Amino acid sequence: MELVASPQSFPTFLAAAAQVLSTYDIFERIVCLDVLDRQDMINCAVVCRSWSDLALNGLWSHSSFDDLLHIFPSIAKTHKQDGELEWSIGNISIAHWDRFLHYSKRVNTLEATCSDRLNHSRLTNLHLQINASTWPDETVDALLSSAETYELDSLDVLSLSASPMSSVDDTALYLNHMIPSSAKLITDALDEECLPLGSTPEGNENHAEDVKEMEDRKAKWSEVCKRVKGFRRVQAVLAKHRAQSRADMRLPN
Amino acid sequence: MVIIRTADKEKFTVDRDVAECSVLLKNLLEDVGENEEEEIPVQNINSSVFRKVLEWCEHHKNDPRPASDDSAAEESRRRTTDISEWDQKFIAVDQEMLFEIILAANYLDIKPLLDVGCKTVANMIKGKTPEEIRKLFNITNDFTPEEEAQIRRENEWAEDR
Repeated sequence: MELVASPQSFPTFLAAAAQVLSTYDIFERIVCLDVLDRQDMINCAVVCRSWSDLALNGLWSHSSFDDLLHIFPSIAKTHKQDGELEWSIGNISIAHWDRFLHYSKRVNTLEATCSDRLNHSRLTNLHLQINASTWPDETVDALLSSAETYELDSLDVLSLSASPMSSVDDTALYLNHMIPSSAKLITDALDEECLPLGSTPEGNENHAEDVKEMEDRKAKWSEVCKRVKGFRRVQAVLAKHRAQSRADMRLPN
Repeated sequence: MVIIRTADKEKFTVDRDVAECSVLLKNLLEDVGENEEEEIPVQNINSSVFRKVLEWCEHHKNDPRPASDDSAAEESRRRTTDISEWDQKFIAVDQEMLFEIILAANYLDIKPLLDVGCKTVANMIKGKTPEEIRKLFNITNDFTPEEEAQIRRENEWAEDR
């Protein structure tokens, strides 16, 4: 498959350079190497149309849910006192949905994990909170009423590591609507060896609390997973993904 | 030894070990067996580029060969951003030769060499503004100012991640 690099994009430049920079596989290799950071990829995305798609694919390939939410207008994120996150979004027009789909189709791994799990005191945060109390009803309807709305067709892996939503039913309903049947849902909440980062059994006075929290989490996830069609827990993917998540993880502002 | 003929009809007599750095040549050599008289044509590569590629293969002939189905090793190699000192000197060529080497490595299926070339191009792009990148590669900006601004606006969150 080749990008459409029109001859006028490279009017006098060397044929070899034009060929390299317009060959999909090679250009993808250049963009997806770890040499380029996110700013570089944004710069590549606005060089020309033929570069844009691939650079955006690289930029959005591994995204979190709030990355996607940035497309919507007037997005506001509030940290509540109990550590949970609350989202509010302005009116969503058809144009905004179009742009959402423009980017969401590029997502291969959606990180819906509690990104601040490194900070133990905020472990209860639920990164992805969709229920009537935190989202306007019409937004919930828009999100859940149509599977086509999301069109995360390219999604390979959905990683969830926080507590599920307060309602097991809501969580399962949401996941069933959101993830394509080919995707893998992974959660370390079911992992026997999973301890919150920064928490060790020895010398940690909160250990009993941690264990209880994890057991609660595990019980809830077990229930959710029973209700999510096509759920597959893939340990190898999970281990690799968790290692990558730890490396990539950033504390929220 | 094997004989390889480039697009400009030049013939190279090459150690089998060296030639087999290329997956394409390795497969072709398996097809011709032990017949050392048979010339292997590489139609997309001229002699000056092939000579350079052979220089790389000669230096790396004892490196472990990446298995074609070893995606983890492939991923690891791609994630390693460092280029060895020898490779840096090897790839310090003019842009035309750099891109010819990349095309040759892609055609011959020499993934480690392809990565060296791609990392070098990525390093050329790194830290440059879109305008500098366009100038470097003589690319015409076919976005309208509004389209460019929209892409920037929708992705500005990513700058701080």
